[in-house]
Amino acid sequence: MKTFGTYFQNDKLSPLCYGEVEIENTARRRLRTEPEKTAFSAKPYLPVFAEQTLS
Amino acid sequence: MKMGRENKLDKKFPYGKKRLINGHEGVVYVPSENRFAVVLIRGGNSCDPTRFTEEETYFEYGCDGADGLFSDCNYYNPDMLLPIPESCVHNGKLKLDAAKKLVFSDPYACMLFQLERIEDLGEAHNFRVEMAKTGLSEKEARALAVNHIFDRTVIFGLGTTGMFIGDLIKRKYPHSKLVFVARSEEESPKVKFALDITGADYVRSNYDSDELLAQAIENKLGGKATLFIGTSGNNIEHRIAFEQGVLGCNGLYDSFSLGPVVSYDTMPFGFKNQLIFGSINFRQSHMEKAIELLSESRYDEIVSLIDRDRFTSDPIDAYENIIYSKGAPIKTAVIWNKKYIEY
Repeated sequence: MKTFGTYFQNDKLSPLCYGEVEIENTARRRLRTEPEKTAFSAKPYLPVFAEQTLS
Repeated sequence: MKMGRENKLDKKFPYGKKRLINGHEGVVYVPSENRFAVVLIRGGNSCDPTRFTEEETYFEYGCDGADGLFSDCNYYNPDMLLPIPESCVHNGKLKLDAAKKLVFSDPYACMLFQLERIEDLGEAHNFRVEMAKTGLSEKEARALAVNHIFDRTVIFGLGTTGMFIGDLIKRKYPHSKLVFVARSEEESPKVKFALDITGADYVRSNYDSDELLAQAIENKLGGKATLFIGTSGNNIEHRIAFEQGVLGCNGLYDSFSLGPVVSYDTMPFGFKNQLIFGSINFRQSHMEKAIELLSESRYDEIVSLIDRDRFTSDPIDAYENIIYSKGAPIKTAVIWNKKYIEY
């Protein structure tokens, strides 16, 4: 599915961009004892800028 | 961004991608269930994410191997969409003040785990000396040791994590003599808010030497620290605790910083019977508790908003000149979708 968002990339001049991106419903596991699950789609309403992202 | 500029992000990307949608704190709407949720950000192939091993895998939405929140929509494991209290929603819309509080669910959950670790380790570290002092049973002495580890607490650094652990300690251990140490002026809104929330004391880190700063901290504490929590991300933390000796005998050093190298002279360290630990993670139960506590908190007061168009038109400029500029608010959020927000 295509959506719009901001994203990090390897680029000396433009490491953070806004634009159209392709996202996938990757099966993920919450805990080792549980099965992998494909996801619900959700719409972010109030994301914030973290202090330690990727640090 | 630094990693991206240095071409070092590959391990952070979702499998098969050359980019990572950022954002790992926030509130989302789940259309298929017509409800709002906080995303349990950390998951993977571990039995307990606070004790994951080298053989286990780990991901973090918006930070490590999985896309995050700064997009019009995204996919999340359904079991990781945690419900929020009904009081946060009105007429089908998310109250803005509630949303502002809940954006701290991730760091607040981290600090709930820190508190748990301090309690566990403080108890194990000192129950035998409490037995020797009091003649109490082991069970009674363990309870005493937990209580006493918080007697004189230094929190070095006053970002949200420092503020939150101070808040949690004061809620549960009101007897704790708590001192924040940071660079901000005493009259800054951040310091005033933190002291108001916690009833703590404050030492501004602007002395000419480490020695003078250490003396000021001890004066404010009324003695050596029983507990020293580093959250500033700066090397001065461990110098004050160990070189300057602010951390006392049988004391606990909790490193929540990312970056500094903690060093110490093994001679006094061993004889002082001190303990250093570090742990950055949490379990689902911590985040559920964080959601409950935050929804009744005042932390919406420290969140500012940036216009979405202003941010997306030049996100690097927004980061460098607004969000992380000198004098920036403690936390900045963007209303990504206004449809279900009640102002």
